[in-house]
Amino acid sequence: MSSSNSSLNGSVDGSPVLPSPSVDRDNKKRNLLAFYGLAPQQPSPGQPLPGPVAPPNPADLVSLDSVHFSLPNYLSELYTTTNLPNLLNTSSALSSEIAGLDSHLQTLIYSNYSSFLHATDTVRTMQSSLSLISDNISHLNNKIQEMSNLNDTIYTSLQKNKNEIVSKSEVVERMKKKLWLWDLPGRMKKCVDSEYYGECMRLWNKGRKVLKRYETVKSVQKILEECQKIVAELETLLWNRVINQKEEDKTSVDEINRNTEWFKIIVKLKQGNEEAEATLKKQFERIFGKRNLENWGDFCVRYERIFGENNREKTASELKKYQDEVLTEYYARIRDNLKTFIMSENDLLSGVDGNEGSNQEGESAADASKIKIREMFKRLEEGYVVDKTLTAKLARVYEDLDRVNKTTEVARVKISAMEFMSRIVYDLIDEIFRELVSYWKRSIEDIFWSPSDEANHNNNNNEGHMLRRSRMDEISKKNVYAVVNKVGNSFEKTLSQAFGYFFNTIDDTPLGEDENPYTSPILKTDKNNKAQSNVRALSFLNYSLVFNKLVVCTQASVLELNEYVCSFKDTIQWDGNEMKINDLMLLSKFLIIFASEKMSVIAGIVVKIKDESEIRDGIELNVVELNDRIKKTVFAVMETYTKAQGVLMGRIIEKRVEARQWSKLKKEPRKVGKSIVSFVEDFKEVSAVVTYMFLGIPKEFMFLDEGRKDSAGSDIGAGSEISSGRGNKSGALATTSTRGKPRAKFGVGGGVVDDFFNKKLVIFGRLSQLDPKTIMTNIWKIVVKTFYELIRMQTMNKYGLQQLQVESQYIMQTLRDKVVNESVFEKMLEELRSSAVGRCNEPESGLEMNVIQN
Amino acid sequence: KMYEETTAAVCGLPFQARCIVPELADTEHNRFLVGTLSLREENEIHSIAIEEISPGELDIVEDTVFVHKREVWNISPCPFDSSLFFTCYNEGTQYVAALWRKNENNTDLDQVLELESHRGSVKCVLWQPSAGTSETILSMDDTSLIHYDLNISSESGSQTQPKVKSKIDYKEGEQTTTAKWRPQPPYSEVIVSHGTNIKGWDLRSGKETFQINRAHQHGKIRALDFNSNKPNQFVSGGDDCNIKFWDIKKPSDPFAVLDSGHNHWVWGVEFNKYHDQLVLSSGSDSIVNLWRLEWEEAGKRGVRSQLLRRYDDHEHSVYRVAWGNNELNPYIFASLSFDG
Repeated sequence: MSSSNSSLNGSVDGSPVLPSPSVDRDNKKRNLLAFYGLAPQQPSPGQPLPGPVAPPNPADLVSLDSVHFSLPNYLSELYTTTNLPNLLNTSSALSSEIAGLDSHLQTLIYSNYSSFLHATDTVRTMQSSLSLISDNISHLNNKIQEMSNLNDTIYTSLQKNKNEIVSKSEVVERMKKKLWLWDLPGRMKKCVDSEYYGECMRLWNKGRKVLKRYETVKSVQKILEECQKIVAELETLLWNRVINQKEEDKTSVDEINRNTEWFKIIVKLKQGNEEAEATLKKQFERIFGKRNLENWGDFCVRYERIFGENNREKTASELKKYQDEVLTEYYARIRDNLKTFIMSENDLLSGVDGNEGSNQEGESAADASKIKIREMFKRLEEGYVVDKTLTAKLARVYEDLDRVNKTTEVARVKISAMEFMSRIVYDLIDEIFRELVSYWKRSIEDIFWSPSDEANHNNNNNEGHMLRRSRMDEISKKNVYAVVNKVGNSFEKTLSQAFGYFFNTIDDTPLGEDENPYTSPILKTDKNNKAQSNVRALSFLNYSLVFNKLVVCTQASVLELNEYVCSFKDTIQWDGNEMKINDLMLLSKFLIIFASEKMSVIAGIVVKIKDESEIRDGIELNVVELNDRIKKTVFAVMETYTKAQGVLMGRIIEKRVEARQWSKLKKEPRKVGKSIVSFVEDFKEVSAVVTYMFLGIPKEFMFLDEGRKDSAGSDIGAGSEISSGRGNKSGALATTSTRGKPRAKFGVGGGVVDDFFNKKLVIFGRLSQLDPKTIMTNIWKIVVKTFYELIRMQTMNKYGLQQLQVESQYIMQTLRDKVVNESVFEKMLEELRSSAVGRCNEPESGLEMNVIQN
Repeated sequence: KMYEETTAAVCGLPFQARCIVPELADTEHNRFLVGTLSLREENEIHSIAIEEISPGELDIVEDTVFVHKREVWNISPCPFDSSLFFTCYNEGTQYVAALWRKNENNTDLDQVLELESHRGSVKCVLWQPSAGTSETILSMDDTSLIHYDLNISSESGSQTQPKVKSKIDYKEGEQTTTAKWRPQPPYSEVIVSHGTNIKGWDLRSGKETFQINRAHQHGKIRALDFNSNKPNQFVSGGDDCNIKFWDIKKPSDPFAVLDSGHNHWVWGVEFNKYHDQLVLSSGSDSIVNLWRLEWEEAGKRGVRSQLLRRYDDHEHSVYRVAWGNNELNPYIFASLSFDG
């Protein structure tokens, strides 16, 4: 095997390196690597083999793949650094690696060897076939020589005839020309008759030179005269046609083209005749230029083609004037149409002004607003996407400008148009929002208040409330959500349409129906045109401006409405009147709907444009923040409601507690007092109302995220009012004073005391979230608080105490599921009981639990 | 519990308690009378003196306890004799009023006299707020105001019943809760809370001087106090959580309303006697508020209010607050929560 290996090596290098007996193992290895192209560099054969000149890197000595690998070093390294199991592992890994390498080496050598045998066979075969081929080639050579001789003979015999043919074909050509000339007048005549004046002129120009050359030949002269006569006739004909042309004659493109041709011919014919030329120019301008100013670019091109001169500068001012006219008209139309852009929900208001029967005063203002909005809807419906012809007209103006003055001018005009548009939209946004806000305000007013109701309200709360109630009911019947949603949708539609249109008019590319103006191709495709890019950039800018304005207006109006709603909260709150409290509830309901629906609409609009980060930058519409503001108002209103409801129910309790002679009861309680039964019923009813209010309100609306939970969440803690039972303190405690430290500072190392105070039950906490149970819990706390405050002012005998125990048990059993937090629920009741025990003048007189439960 | 801005002295009582008042006769110390409220145990009257032992730090320098058998619902200290005070207490079925004298030798209270002219429960007793030593008092129950002349002899032992000068019947069913004697000469006007209404009564004629209907939205008016520096002004606090400032001359509407301070019934409202822009309020929401009023211009009624400080340290309802009576340090006040 080693011999075949070395002979292979030699054949690759070109200069055989004979294996010397003294060649060491390293050398063999290097040669082998070189053969497989693995060696970093091939040692040249003449040089001495590179010895270990440089001291090898210690890492190389132990690296298996290194040239300087040294077994002793490797082993000692291995023995010193590795433990026995690892050593065994390494050993087995190495053995398997070696076995693998061995078999790989064998495979390589074997395949090399068999390749070599194959190659030798092939060379042998080739040698034998080569001798065969050389015989065949010499035979072929002879044959070709024969053919070449034959060819020479043929060529010489043909040469004589060929010259004859050439001369004859020349004669034929000349004859043809003559014949064509002969026919010229007829063909020209034919062209004129069938109004192919251009073709006629082409023939004439073609034939004229030949005819002039052979003018002396009589027959030719005759032809010439005939032709000249036809041309003269044509000239008169065209002159008359062109000069007598009326502007109205040309309507189709074909006709315009034909006319242009006529002009071209007649101008050619009248060449040199300055007077005629001037007349023609005038005529051309008269017919084409002024009437078709929107085709100015076309005109210029034709003019150049006919008269061969550039008249762009001359006509630019005229064009500008015309363009201004078009633009002014265009803008006027757009302005009108945009104004009708408000909303397109005709039936929107049918839900609001469904109270046809009511003729209350003071509705006139609200009605006026409704009518105004209704009109806007209508105009919008009729007027949206005005006028495609006008748009097209403007587009043509741009196109022509493009041809006449190139893109810079177009860009300039577009920009000015765009700025104009933005201004309109900008102003319009104000208008829209003013109208919307006033509409929304009136909707709110209609439900809760209208100035003329005030007298009503003061004199007779019920009536005032019933009025509002009926309005709310009417709206509810038609589905409040739907109405508000519709307002929102129209709002969204309005804006997207306005912008869609806005873009549509700024760019010549019409937008698809559902196409986002922002992804319109005009913005996306850059034709490497600086002016166009500028237009795009500016339209971007303008859009951003308008959008910004929109955002600002949205925010402002949302806040304004929010504030407005707050003012209702203030007028309604704290009356302690049941009807007014229900108004508060309605108000919150409206608010919740307003916030959850409206904000999602606004959010929707913003989100649509959100992807365009360039626009979003610098615009601060924080939907979340706005939503939070509204949410906060809702919370505030609901908190007011909760308080008011709590106080109201407290008052009912007050009457009942004070009406009873707690200290004069004569027998053990047998049943729950009627008053408590009706309290429980009241509470259930309020709970039902509150639950109803939240029907259909999205879950995510019920939380206000930051901070609120902290401030309200402490009601989970154990109530301390309960644990600090009275009478347990020893007299010795009486004089103990805690010096110098207010309670607020107990937090510093208070320990047990700290815990004790942290568990303070928050009775008047804020709402942690908007859901019926949380609200009911807060009402519950206020009611029971009032209850035990009232109890604390009573003195009762043991039957009074027992009665109260029975009743609190009854409350516990019936209302438990109405309140979200059971520990709060029970602790409040416990406080009620302990207050009662404290006010009982007969000690140890409470009933046993099992007695109460029976 | 006593507070002065950020530092406070805290004093615990063995029982629940409802009333705390400054000892009016002692103008050199901040001394308060506190009565406990326990139905079944022997109650106590604490006479607590507070001093500012170092700037900003208060301490209780004295806490004398007197035994008062019945639970104390109200205390009316005599404005000129610090050993005398009325209490209104729960006698079992009725609330009665009695005049007590502190016994200097032990913890007993000597009953000087008991007002026996009332048929219903006595709500409060008022001393005529004149500067002198007028022994004229008023007592109030649900149906009438009774005007007496006391004749207190210095000897101990039971006294004869005071002479009834006049009696005013309200002729109205609304429950009364509290009353205040107008602190300006001729000391002839008293304001009384009747449910949600406030009425002024003239002691000489026995007639109504003014009436504010629905001074508070609902419930009861639980606190009244006169501004001792501005003759016609008084303040009221009620179950609608509001505190309202009124002028007797224009009773149609309040000139200021503090509606943001409390979440539950307002039980106590007190003008500072010396600095009438400072007002304390407390309520059953366990909160004590210190307000400052700013009169915009003399003679005008416009007032700006400012919540100086909100003390939410109490665990329980705070039924009374009281300014200290020390002329030299009039900024000390006390608040008392139900848990003592």
